Amino acid sequence: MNVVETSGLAKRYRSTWALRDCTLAVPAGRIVALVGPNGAGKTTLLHCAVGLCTATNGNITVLGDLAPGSLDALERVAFVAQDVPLYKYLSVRSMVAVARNLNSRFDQAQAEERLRALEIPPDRKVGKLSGGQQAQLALTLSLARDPDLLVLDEPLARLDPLARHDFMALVMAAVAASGFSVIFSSHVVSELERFADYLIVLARGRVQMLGDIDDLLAGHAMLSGPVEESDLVGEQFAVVQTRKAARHAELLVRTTGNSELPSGWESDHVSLEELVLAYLRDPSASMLPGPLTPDELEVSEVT
Amino acid sequence: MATVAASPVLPRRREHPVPWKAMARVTWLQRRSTLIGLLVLFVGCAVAIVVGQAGTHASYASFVANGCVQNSFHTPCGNFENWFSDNTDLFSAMVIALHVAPVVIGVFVGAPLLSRELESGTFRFTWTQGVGRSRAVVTTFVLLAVFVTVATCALGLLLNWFAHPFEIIGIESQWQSGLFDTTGPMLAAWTLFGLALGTFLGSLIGRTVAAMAVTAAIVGGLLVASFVWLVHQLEAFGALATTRRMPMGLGVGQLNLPGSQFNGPVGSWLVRAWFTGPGGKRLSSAAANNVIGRMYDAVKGKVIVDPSRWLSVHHYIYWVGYQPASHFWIFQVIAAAILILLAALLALATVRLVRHRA
Amino acid sequence: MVIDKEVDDHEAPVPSIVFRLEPSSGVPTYLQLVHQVEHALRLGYLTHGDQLPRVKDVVASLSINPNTVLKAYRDLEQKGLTAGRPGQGTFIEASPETVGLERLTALRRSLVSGWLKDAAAAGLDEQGTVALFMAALRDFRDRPMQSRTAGRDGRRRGEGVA
Repeated sequence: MNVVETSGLAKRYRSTWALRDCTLAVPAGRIVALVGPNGAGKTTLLHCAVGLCTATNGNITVLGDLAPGSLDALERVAFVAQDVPLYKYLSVRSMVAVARNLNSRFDQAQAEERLRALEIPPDRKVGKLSGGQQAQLALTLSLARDPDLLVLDEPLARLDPLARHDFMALVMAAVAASGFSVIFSSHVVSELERFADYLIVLARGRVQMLGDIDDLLAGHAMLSGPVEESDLVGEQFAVVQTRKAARHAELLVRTTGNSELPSGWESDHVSLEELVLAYLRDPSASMLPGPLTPDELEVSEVT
Repeated sequence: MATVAASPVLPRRREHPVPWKAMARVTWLQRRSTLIGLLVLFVGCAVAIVVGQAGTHASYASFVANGCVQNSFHTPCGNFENWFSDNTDLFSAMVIALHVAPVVIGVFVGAPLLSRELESGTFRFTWTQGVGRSRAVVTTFVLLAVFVTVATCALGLLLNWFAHPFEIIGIESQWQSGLFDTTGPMLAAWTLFGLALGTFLGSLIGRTVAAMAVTAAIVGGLLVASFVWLVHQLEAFGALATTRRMPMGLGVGQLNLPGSQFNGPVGSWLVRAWFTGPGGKRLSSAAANNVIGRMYDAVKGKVIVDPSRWLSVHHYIYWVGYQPASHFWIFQVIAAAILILLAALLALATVRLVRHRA
Repeated sequence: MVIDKEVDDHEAPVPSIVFRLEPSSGVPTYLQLVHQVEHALRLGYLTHGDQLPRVKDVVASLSINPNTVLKAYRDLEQKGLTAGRPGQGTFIEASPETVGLERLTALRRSLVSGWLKDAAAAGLDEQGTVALFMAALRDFRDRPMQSRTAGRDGRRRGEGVA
């Protein structure tokens, strides 16, 4: 089962295309990072997945074959929107009561227990909580719905480092306990590896790179060697990024087979951050993995 | 491949019953202060009406005890003001207050209903919960609509009751535009319309203050228009015609009480009056005023001369258009139905906007 | 899928090992965990029968992907260092194969009298020596162009410890 599957998904807001021809499939049981620069279409894609937006073109389904926004899908997909919109004038207790009454599946005891553990006072007004606590409250309300898919839009953007750690610890512990799938967007690339095991890179409304993070890292290497041989080596590999110094060149390449390096060349692992930045820096690079064909998607799903 | 197991604690629901009770709790939690404020206003109005009616009832009792029947300069009881001066001010104040009610509810309940969610971004929370956005919006709207309808129906009936002694003595009539819009089902209909229009504008504009201002302008404007013009137009529709011996000016808005000398049934509402000249041709209002002037000139100083005689001699006939009392509820139902239909259309348009908002 | 089947009705015991992460080290997170367990075994901080922290607890304290912890624990299990007991957790089975003291001494001697001596004679200073050694070691360990297929399999969650 794919938790999110799109084909040719496109979304236009008045005259601008927020998403264009976006085709992807996210297998279940993953923690997926959706990265890309601001304005890449991350929020739009997530909104389409939770039923807050209707596609201009193309299709999107969640949790197998459910239409986002349908009652069946809403019951099983929880969403924490960017900037954590909650009713700021309500007390925490009332906010929990609102969430409970808006859902037929809601574990109030679990939510209260979690809030106690987080030391969020139930009588405090939501608007008086710190940013980190508001995020934790929103997350707690989502987790109490026992979702099969949790969608988080820029959950870390406005949190300080400690709050980030606590927030993601809450997500990760809940995943460990219940095994639901997570998709979260971020425009910060560092530390993604810690949380995510699957990556989608969006740029200008299109999917640039997508896959299991281990596979992506294993499929790329940073080659360094004499600058005069760099073009020759470059022909051998699919080069994502070339950086040249006076005598020395570094090529970020996709490694497809067992190609022997010429002597004098060294190969090193690529960090996820390097990899993502390299792709984002050159959105037109012709060696992009590109949208996967349905066949490839099937293969990538098989375990 | 991981399989996502259902939680043992929370069974999956197959059917999706409409969550009336749950949404009522949500509505109460979210709008507690507004609802309490409204309730205070409603109860305040009701208390004022009950108190006012009690006073009026006492005044009416002494009025009757003195052998008076109705407001007339020709009875020994004199002008009604001698008897009801303490009661009419409160009555007028309540009529005005109930005119304001649909505006208040449109502005403070309808307009913020969705605009606040859209403006603050909380729709991204509410609309992604299990209940679903359409059902959340529809149930909330219906619950609020039922609440204000029940309250305003009660207030409208209370005002009818308050107006009753005044109607008997002939100084107020439920046909009058002021009472027509605030009694019976009409107050509830206007309120529903205000609520629906506010909700629609809120979802359309998405800004709370702007939605409130536009709602106030439209609902208030329509109520004023109804007061000065629309109700008269409506009540004139399909009026019956009869002649009146004594021309009482071209004014309309009188109730045919015993002794008002017009040929329609008692309790009829006079909606228009006109003259026909020789040949049955209808006179313009300028010509009619001219005829009245000439008539009074002719009878000036001659106390015995009957003005109606002068009219018949000159082949003028004074006509009145009237609605028999039995038509009153038909008009109320028609007017209320128009407003409720508009409210329903606005509510449907709102649901459409909500459903397709992306 | 539930990884930790135990109900949270008891206080978590004092953990047998406290993991920490160095995000900038370049070593994959799961390998950091594996190395720390191996290290603790070598130093005797962990012994046979000790229970490794539950996945949920590691995840909550480090704020990392549960799959990463599962992968580390699976790796340890494949190495024969640990064993999962269904419904209970992961326990230490054995110490890593340690090289005998004699053999260690011999290896050390050959390094000092052989390669290190040559390097010094060639004029390499201490830093140069370390850099060269590390580069050679990396080359030796993973021939780079053979992609790290080890990472491909067994990464999916659901093939859990239990």
